[in-house]
Amino acid sequence: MLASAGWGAHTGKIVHLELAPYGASFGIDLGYTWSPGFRLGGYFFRSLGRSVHQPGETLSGRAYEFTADTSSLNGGLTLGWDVPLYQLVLRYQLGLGVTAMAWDLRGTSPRTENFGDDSSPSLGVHLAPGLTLLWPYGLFEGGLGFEYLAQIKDTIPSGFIGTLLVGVKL
Amino acid sequence: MRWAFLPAVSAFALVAAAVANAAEPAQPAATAAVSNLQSPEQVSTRYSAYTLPARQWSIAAGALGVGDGDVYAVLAVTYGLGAGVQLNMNLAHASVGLLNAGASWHFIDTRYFDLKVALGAWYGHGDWFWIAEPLAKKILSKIDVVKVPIELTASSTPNRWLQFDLGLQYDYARIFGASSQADSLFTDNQLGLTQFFVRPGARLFIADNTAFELFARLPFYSAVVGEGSPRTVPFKHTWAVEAGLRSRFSRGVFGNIRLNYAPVSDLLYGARFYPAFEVEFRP
Repeated sequence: MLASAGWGAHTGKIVHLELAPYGASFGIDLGYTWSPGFRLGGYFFRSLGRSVHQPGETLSGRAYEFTADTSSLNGGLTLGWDVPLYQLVLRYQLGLGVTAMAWDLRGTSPRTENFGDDSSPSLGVHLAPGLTLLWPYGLFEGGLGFEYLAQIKDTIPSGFIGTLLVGVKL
Repeated sequence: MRWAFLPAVSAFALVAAAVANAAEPAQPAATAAVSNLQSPEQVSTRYSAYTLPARQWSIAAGALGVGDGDVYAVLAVTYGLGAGVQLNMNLAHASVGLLNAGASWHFIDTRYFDLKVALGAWYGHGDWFWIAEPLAKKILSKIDVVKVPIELTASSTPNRWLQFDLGLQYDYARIFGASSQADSLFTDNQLGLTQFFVRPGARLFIADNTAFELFARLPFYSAVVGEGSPRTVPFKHTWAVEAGLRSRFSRGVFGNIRLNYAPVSDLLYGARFYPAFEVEFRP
């Protein structure tokens, strides 16, 4: 069982719209590892996101400014494998989960920004490959890693999240 | 289109679950007993001069790649015939209407220097591309794509920690019956691109069971060849770099996670910086 804290950044735009639903993130990572190294787990984390003030332009060419404020909840299941690496453990994992992105567009409308009839929060499925380098120390373990949330829904940007993990082996 | 890789993800899960019971204990002593990632039965054949040993099967499942051979999804079956020759096919691409097959020959095999030549043949018929959205499928239905990649790859392993690779590849590709709208669907993912490129790379073996890998794809000629005159594609749209780790999970099971930075990734997945993963099973 691991507690995670980290920072995430979005890696793409939704057409011209910049959304930042990751940023400071914290959560938990639970799992069971069989002796060969195969691990089945689950994760849940909240990302605080941030507001992005940005320019827009109507079809008629009128320029305007608006603010997109987003944050997200992410959770899912992982398949993984722990690989011994000297005194450390290199954990490969692939997550399949759901992102709920809360959004608030101030100074524009969802339809103008290609959100169509979607309402907040937007729900979407993600794939999350990741790597973590762990240092087991007795009952405790901690480490650094990343996961990449490859979002399948068009209105949620994908994101790269670097994490610091600390926890116990029960 | 963004769902296209999900069949390969399912395959990844099935392969991972299937090998869990056949795995070796993750202990240093056991790791040493099965040699290292440079040994013939474990060496990576991806972007290297090496091929599978005789009578060796390999099944690899993965997704989110950006190279034309592993774009969207991989479910590749490879077989080593012996004498340095192997045959391969990506069933994930074949299942969506892009028939493909390849053969490789590792013809120079020395202690410090190796060479491989590879030849492929791909054929895509737009009407078979069932995974496309209705509008795209209607446009694609009128076109055919033929591609013949020819590759020469050199590898050098100066010591047990390091391997250098250099690939030189020419992809002949021709799109038949295409309008500019239609060919863009095949050229955006570079499947229909005639290209001449080099692929330098290096692998650092940080342990017996893990290697760090770094590669770049540097095209010096890219063009769309269709019914009219060829249309060149500038370098800024076609280059790519990738960095990743490859590990031996257990005897005969290998995993690979990579991070790509490529303009083509923006077109494929909506972000220039994107991950890819693969698990390979060599029974």
